Amino acid sequence: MSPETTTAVEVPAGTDREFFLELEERLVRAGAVRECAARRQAMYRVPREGFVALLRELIETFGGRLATVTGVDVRDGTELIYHVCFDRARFTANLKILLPGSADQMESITPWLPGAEFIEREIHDLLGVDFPGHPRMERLVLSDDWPEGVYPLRRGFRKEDARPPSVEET
Amino acid sequence: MSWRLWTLRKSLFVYHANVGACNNCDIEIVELLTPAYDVERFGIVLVGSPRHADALLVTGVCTRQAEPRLKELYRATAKPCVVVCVGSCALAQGVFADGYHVGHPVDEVIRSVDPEAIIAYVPGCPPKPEAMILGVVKVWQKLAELGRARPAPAVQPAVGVSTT
Amino acid sequence: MGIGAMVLALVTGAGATALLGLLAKGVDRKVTARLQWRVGPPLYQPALDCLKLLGKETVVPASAMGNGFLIMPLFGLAGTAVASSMLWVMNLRGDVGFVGDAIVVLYMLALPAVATILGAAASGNPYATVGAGREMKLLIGYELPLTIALLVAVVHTGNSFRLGQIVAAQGDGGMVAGSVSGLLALVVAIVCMQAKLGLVPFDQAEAESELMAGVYTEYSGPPFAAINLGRCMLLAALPILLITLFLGGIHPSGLGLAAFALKFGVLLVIIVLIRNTNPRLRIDQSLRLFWYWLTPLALLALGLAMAGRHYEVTWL
Repeated sequence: MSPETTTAVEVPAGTDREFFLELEERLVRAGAVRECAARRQAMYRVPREGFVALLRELIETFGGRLATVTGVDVRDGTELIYHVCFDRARFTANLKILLPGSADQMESITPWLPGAEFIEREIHDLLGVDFPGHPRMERLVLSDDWPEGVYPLRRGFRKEDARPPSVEET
Repeated sequence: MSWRLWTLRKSLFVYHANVGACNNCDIEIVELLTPAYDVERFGIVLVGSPRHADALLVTGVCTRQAEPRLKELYRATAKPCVVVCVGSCALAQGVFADGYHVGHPVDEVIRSVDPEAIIAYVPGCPPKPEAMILGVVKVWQKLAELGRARPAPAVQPAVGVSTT
Repeated sequence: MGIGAMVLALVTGAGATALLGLLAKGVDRKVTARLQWRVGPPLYQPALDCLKLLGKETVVPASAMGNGFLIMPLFGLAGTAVASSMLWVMNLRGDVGFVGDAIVVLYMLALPAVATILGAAASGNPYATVGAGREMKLLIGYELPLTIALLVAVVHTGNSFRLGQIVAAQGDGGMVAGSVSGLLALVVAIVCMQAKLGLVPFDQAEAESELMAGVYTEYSGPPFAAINLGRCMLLAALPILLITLFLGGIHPSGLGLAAFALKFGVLLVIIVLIRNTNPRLRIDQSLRLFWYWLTPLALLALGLAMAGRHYEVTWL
């Protein structure tokens, strides 16, 4: 699906109109491009530069709440989507970032948003994205003896790389 | 029938261990205690510590993280203690059999600690409470068949059993 | 009493309390089940539980102090046995006894709690340690109002610390609970009894589903059977203590035994009802209850009893 630049600003159904226009204006100023919209939510493609500052402003000034961060392994690298909910305005902004395969790391937001600690650990475990600045990057969902460098949700994952030890050894 | 076996049939303390289940089997196990099935009238009580348990009800595929812990749990129980694998996941890992997060099947893990452990299998996803009661009854029949309550096996408690 | 008579009294008294206690525990579980619209286990189920536990192996954790860990259940059992046999003897033969035996009985009945604390601390388990801390706080909480309630009974029956005289005075002058202060003291003593038994709302030490099995986490086999038996005996001994102090004691006659059975049954029903209709309190809430509410109430009862005694008003 090719991203489309919005020409006319259509407010997604069910969302507070003024808030949405203000938010959209801020996002477009940061270089975001709206890909699609549905009832009470919209998906934006956001450039990597200045993303953390943008996120911080959305959460602190605009009153957003980071619901979670999801990720998927695509051909060009790893895509992370930050789902930011604006509960009072009834709107969810899904901010999509592409981390090119050669440089998949993203500055950690845990120092100023402690609730993101587990989210970033899980993404690191399963997709292999680094989060420099994370205070405690340990295994979360995978077992402690999981080998390094093997990421289950990556396209090239092979189960043979991560065989469990024999039943006597555990 | 020895008096130990007879008292085990009359009073069974059960410890429930979830080693990676979706909680469906856990809900059905707790349902056994509700007025609909009321297993307390058979003397079956849910206890809070594995040391008090006569039966270990294991639910869930044994995930890689849970495997050493399940072994410690079994070693911690006071023998004679039987193991009841509840649900398809505990039997042979069900649909998760080849997953990257699963360890070995529950009965392999238990047998690596104690090759002579008595293990009952209750299939279902989740099993009906009647099936679980039938599983316990079969354990009693098996114990009677063996003719004796199992004495303490030659299993040394692991060094890691102390808590720091 | 000669040594032989004392040993006989100890064995029969403790044995009778054990049987009564196992039956009482069975009644407790049966009534609890009925209150929850279930059928419940048979009345002899606690006896079967103890028998089964005798057949299991004893596991001593590597981090435990083995000797203390294993001795403590017997310590608690001994305290309960001595206290209960003393209660039977003082009730059935009021002339034997010594000044202060009421205090000794109360002291003996504190031993099970102390043994629980020490045994849990010796087991080296963090859950047991937390449970032991809570049991310590609970002990400080309920011993105070219970002792003051005992003092109310003592004041009422002529300032004598002999259980035999307390029972005899009630036979002449009517039950202690028939007066205002006696009734207040009985209410205080019932709540303290609930805490001493370790039943909801005061079971923070065991706290199942919160602390695994709390203080009893590491016990298994025969030591655990001893603990269970001790708790069942306490379920019989404490109502007998309350009956002795407040409800006229046990009269060794047909009518007297029937009256005792009635009083015991009423107290047991109260225990079971309180147990089934209340949530577990937090430890600071129970301490607040004991120190800010029950202790002043017990002191009020004591004041009323002393005033009644001084001004010869019998109903106070």
